[in-house]
Amino acid sequence: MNKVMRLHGSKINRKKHIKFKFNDKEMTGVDGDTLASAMLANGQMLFARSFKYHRPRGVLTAGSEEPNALVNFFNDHSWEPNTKATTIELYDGLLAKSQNHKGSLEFDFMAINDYFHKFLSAGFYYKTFMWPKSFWEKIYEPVIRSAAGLGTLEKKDDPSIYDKGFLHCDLLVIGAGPAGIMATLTAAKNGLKVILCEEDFVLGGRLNADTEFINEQAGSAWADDKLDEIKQFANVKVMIRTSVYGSFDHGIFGAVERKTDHIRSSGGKPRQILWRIYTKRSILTAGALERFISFGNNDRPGIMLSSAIRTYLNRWGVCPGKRIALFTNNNDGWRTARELRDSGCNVVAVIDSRMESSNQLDGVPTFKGETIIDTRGRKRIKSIELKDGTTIETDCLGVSGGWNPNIHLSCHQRGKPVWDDKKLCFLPDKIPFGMKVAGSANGKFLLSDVMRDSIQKTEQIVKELGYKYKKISVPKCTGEDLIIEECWEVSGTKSRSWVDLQNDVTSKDIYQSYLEGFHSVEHLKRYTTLGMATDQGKSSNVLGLAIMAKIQKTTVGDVGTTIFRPPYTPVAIGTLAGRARGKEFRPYRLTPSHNWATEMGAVFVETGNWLRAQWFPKPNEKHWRQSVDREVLETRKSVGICDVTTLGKIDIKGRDAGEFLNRVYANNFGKLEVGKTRYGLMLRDDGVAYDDGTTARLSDNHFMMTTTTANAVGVFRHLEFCRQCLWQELDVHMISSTDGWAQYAIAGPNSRKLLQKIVDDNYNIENENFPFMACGEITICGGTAARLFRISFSGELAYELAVPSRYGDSLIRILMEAGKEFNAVPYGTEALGVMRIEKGHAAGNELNGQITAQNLGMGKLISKKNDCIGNLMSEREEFEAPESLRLVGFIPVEKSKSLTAGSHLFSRSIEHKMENDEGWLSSVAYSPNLEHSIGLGFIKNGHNRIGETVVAVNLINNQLLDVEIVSPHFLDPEGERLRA
Amino acid sequence: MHNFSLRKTHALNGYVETVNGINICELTDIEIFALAIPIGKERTAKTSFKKYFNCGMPDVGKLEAIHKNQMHILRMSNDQLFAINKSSSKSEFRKIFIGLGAKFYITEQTDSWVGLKVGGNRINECLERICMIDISIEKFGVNNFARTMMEHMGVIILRTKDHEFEIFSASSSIKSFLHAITTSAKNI
Repeated sequence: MNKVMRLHGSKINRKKHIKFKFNDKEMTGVDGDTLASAMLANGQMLFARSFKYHRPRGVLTAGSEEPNALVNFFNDHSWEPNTKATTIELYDGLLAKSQNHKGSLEFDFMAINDYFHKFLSAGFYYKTFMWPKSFWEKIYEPVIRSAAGLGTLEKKDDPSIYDKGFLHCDLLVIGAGPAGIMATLTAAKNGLKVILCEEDFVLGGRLNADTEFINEQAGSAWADDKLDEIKQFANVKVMIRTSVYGSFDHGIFGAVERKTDHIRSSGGKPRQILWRIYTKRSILTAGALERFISFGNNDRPGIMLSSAIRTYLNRWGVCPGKRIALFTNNNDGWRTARELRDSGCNVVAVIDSRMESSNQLDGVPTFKGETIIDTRGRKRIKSIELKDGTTIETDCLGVSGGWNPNIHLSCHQRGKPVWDDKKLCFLPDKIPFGMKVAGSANGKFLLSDVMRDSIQKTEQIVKELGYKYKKISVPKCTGEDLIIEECWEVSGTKSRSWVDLQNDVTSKDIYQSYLEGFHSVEHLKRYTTLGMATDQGKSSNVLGLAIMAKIQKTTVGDVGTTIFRPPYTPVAIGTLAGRARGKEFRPYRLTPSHNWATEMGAVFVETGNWLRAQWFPKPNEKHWRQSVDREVLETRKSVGICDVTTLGKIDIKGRDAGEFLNRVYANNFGKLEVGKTRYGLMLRDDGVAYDDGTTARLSDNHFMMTTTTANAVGVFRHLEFCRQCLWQELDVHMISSTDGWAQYAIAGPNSRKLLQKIVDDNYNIENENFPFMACGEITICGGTAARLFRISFSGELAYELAVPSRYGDSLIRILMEAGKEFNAVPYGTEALGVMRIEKGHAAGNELNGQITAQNLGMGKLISKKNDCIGNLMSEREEFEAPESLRLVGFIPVEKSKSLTAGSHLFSRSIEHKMENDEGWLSSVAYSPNLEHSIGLGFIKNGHNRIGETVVAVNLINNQLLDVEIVSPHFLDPEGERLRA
Repeated sequence: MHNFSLRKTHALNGYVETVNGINICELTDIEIFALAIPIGKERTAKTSFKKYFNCGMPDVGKLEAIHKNQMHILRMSNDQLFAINKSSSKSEFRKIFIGLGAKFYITEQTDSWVGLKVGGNRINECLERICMIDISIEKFGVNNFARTMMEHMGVIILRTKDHEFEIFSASSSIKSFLHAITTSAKNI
């Protein structure tokens, strides 16, 4: 069969035979084939089943606009549905299967839908499956989804590798047809850095499909020669198999390069690459796509676009039928007929809707001013019926309804195309800055016009970019003009006339849309699904709009188009994700003790990008609480060590650093003594608490600020804004040193003794010399520079010791070694959390963006003397109101019960509804010291309600719990331990 | 009294590898200092800079590194410079900064950053997978540098040869960054 359908061809290597399988049936193609061309060459006309009615479908086009021939394609290790057979490059061993049928492709049980088509028109689902309501999700939708649709995913992880990248150029040429080649050559010769993208795997566009001559050379040969010439330019990058799918702001384009889809195995390389192309200028030379005509049963296998037949004929040497008829409203259909006849194919009729057409073809029956009203044949067209009653036997029908310039990318930034009444197509208008449209994409359908337009537009670009233009001459081209007359829909047929083949939208659906009030083009699209799915209506949209215009008795231009949005062609989600999958989804940050913590068997938790040790389980511990309780108890009993490197550290220097801190913190820092540390609360402009931390004064002009882990980046950005935009006059300089220092909290009654073993002798860290909130630059372990801060988050006698990160791993090992005699334990973030709740320290759960300093009980901290950010707004009446929320502690009345964070608080004997809500529990923990659950939270007028019992309501687990309001300081309220 | 001594470790344990023709090497023996120019003292800072480095301070916005005794001086912004020392004579380098300390606000950044030297004939192809700026030789020549982002991580990229770059990224996320580089190398 292969030999029967194969004639000649310019772009295939007949000597290299390629074996492939479609639906497990082995076939043979040749090098240079697509799956579609090879299947046609094998006489396979049935490719798929339709979306809704499961009607047999063949191939309509020869490119990425294909609506019918969607297949399941085995790509390296997985099946990819909805792949267009017209774009799949053939390789040895290729596997493809048809989709969307129950039973075989030939005998699809779901084809029964076709017999009930009268009940399945647009909007049927919405109207019919309304009752009972509960049936929709459980019965109706699953049944409809299984009966109608495209292919289905494997529902497994996609094993393919994807990547992305960035490219830069002066000029991006989109499409390598004659206009694109000419633009590239012109720009290259003028010195521009050019990227030429072509979605096909050969360059030349329609030159490979037609038989035009350029400078007395066959078009495809001219394209090959020019490609060789282009390759000589170092300033040109040619990217085949690359679809530019979107045009974005500021000269940025998205493109997908298919790297290994055309070979059997990717060899561990990315399958596709998503490129972001930055360009100064772009030229859209994407050509034009032929469109369809709506007539009775115009969807049968064997009915193709006229230009597609020509492409299969000239590029792949495939004749798709033995008795071919053409139906056209322009000269292009005649060109197909002529080239078929010249190739020895049997053309049985040309039906031209134009009465005045001057075309003739010797020996071929011609019907002028005539149209097709119906066709026959189930799995392949067998005959056509003309309006005058004539029946013509045919096994392949070419249809040409005119051409649509490929203007999509010119409209991605909300450009609206304009309708051309003469050319009967939309042309680009208000195109994005930096873009030009040339060739057929600009409505030039004569090859010489295409070349001239492309050269002129490129000349403008060359000059705009400041280059001296070297003149390029326009080549001499053959060709004829389109001369088109309107023929959108053939009326007078009782059969269904398809408009959108991919979505099974017929002209009747468009009439119904109008009758039901969906007149707007956007409503039409959503009501009928016209123009949706993988082809985005490239062959159907204009046809649908024209029928709507006819119904509304207006012009296609007045009906307008829907909004064009990226992507131009489908982009796999995997391609968009690129390499950012699983653990590569985002970068992670590790502290210098990470390796050691891993050796200790730590369980890690993500805090922002950081991985922090959550707890350090011992072999006999079966539950995380056992580990955390032990860490807390051992720390409070003797000494514990926790990695606190992740806290934001900002080095602030300058003559005005103190004044700067006065302004960014709510409390005063200007008078902080050198060698002292102070707790600081930062407010937002609106007076709400933003972040807190400690800031140490290391010298007159040098402060070291710490921020919460979560807000480190945000605070730094905020400080830079203040420095650069608000107070430029201040001599302040800052740099993040979070990564530069490894910092450990050493907490517990024996923390000083432990530290004394490693701090160099010349530094006295006894209480009288280094009291609570002291800080200093010291040396440890025989001269290594370090910073020591006497601060405590746990409420214990505690220090934070920082060394340059390169010593961080070594320091944790030394601390643990030195701490052996005190039974020192490492503790993680969970124990840290338990101890800070026991102490009543606020953290991220409390500083949630709604809470004020007054809510935290820190209202008096806000400086009234200094003009700091947020102090004025913090004086608002509501902030100071006595009934406002206050941070207090909570314990369950029944001690064996556990508190739940997020529970809302209500007075007893009151209904649990929003208006009675008095607050919530923000942080809870089991206190191994108190041996019951404790919590921090906010409740109205909390500080005056100590001892009151309220109800904690958790609606998620339906928990109601009596809780007592207590002081937030569960342990050592006087602070004796931390000052010891 | 103390028997403990701290041992230095490199963030990537001195990583050296060739991946798909791309040479990747951790710069283990470098020092980095940030120099901030006090407001109102720019002239003094310039004079002092010339005295110690025997050359003028790079202009603001000039994306070039100055070599002197294997040292790069990068003008990061209006009021900030980075000095990267790759020479083995660290003491001499520190002496310079002690001298400069009176005229600049100096913060050591050695441990905040990790440097990777990456090179090979296809290094541009490798880096264009993660580097959004134009690093073609005609736009980003030898001794040009830029501060940018790669894979959401802040970096300083410096071209040292036609086919060689030094890239500095934050030390805490350097394993992610190394992974980004090696993945790019494998994927070309």
